[in-house]
Amino acid sequence: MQKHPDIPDWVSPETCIRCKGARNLCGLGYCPILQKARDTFPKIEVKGKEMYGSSPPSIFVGRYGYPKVYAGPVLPPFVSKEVEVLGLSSKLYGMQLQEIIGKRSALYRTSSVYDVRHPKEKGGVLEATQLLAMAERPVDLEVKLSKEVKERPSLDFFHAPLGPRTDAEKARVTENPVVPRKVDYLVEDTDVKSTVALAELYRSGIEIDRMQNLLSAGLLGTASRRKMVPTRWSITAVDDTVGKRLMKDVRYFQEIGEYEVYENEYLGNHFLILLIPGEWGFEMMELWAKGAFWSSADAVLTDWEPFEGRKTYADNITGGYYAARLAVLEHLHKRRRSAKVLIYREIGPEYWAPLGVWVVRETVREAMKMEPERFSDMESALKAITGRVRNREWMRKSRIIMEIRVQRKITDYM
Amino acid sequence: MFHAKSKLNILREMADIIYTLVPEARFDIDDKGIHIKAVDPSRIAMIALDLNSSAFEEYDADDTSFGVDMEKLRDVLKLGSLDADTTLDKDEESNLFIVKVGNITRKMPLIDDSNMTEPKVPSLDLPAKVIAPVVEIKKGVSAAKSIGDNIILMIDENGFDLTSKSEGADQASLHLSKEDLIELDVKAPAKSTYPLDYFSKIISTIKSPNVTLKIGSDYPLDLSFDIASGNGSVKYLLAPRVENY
Repeated sequence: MQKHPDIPDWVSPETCIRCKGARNLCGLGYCPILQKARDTFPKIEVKGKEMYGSSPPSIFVGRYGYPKVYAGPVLPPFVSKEVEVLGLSSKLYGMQLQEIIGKRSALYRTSSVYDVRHPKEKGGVLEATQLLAMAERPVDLEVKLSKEVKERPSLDFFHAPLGPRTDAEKARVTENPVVPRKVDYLVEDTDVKSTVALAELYRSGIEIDRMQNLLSAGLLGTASRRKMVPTRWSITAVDDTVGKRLMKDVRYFQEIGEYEVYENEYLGNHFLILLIPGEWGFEMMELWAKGAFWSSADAVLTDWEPFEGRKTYADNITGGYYAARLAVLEHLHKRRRSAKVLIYREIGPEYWAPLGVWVVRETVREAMKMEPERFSDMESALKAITGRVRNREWMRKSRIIMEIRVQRKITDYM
Repeated sequence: MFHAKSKLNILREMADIIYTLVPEARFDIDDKGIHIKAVDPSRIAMIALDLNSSAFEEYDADDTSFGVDMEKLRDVLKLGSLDADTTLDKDEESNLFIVKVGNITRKMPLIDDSNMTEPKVPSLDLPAKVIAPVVEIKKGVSAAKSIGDNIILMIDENGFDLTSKSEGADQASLHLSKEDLIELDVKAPAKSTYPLDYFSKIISTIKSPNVTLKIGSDYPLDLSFDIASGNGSVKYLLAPRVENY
């Protein structure tokens, strides 16, 4: 195994794949791999201390210093309703990697420090942030900065790339945002738990990105428990909560009759999705191929859950696990069918900068819209997948495949 | 119609056993008692439970069947002392299942049981059988729990073994010799692997002092025990794990 040149010898290559720059598993306090990718971006400057622009709408809540964190509006230094696509992952899907980084880098994180436990303030940066979180369409606003900006954009495995962060002294929304009625209603209702509110927003067709903003801004949940949630955590929280809601129904739908293989590739992320006749269960396996972003381990990682679900965080695959699970559950829920699901993702060197877990969610969503290849037995389905991937041993670590092969059914003896 | 009255502990024992396998179950009622058969969603285990009318102080029933939400039933059965008077009634008009625990009345809608098909109980010819003290088996399960996800059960002329192995070198086993067992009946020695979580869940619900275990090599486990102080019985079948595919 060959390692990334900037990683010290005592850190194993697998450590980086597990951490993805998010958990400081190497103990360095920063991620040399992310740092290096970030250093290739030019510094962006804003002259003067006034910013006037259109937010997609989008907000950012940091996690450093939790529970006292940076929170505020995300906006470019110009007014244009075309920024809308930058705030919707379904619209980002299909763009080239360079284009995504380029466009999103113009989105500044203007922010002030807030205590997540007190998500209320009149007339300040937070109020503007919360107005943005509720809005359905781009919103124009003015932000007064405390100094001029010259910084590089930020990369993160969880959220899409963002421009520099800068301190905001004041923020003022200069137009009346359009707020969906359902959003207005749930923000006002301080007796509804956030999990219930998220399920309702989802049912009424609100986009996942908007739900993340609402949760992040501290606008959902019962009165005493309302808190701002760092953007990174809110992404997984929404994918997990909505997924669990769909799972409740999917568990009791009729099982599919054949093995189905779905496939899609986007920006070097190659997904093969196998639906297996049987009760609900989910596994996601991941291979960061040699030369891919998190160095060169060529190791297959996996996380899975049986019918009853999982109680611990999927800490091998992390956020992508919940995003992919949601995408497949949406498909099954729509079909009113149940299945065991095995997802295998190979990441190649073409994916040279991490763009966020939306890449996983949207790529799997697109895969599930296509016509699958159908098989009558598992071995032929597995063989078909093996023929299309780099690592021919990919399934060796699969818990779901092992369970199917090893665990007999009591119904076999009836 | 269906009306039955008993002490709370009898019904709680039944509800706990069924809930280890399924969240909803079909109650088949006749003049002999309550009969429940269920297969878990993964189809790895099945249960056949009979709670005889003799377990009840009052029992009055025509042949009927209905689906019950076991979680709701368990919740209401937590609301009284073990010797609290408890009644079960099916209200034909409102289609409700009515449970009274002491001064609490809980009404719950019956679940449509039309697609809860009654599973066939497989007839298995299992060559090795023991009757063992439940306390010993519970001890063996506790020892196995920290080791791995599976257990290996073995019965031969020397007695009964319950073993758990980790992927590394960790191992724990319980050995019960002929003297430790109430009965040992071996037509042929047998050894089989089973999922520990299923085994441990059902073992933990057993109130009776003894349990009968029958196995065959790479064959299901047939586990049976008494409930309601002998006024009922449970047969639990668990499919094996077969490694050499």
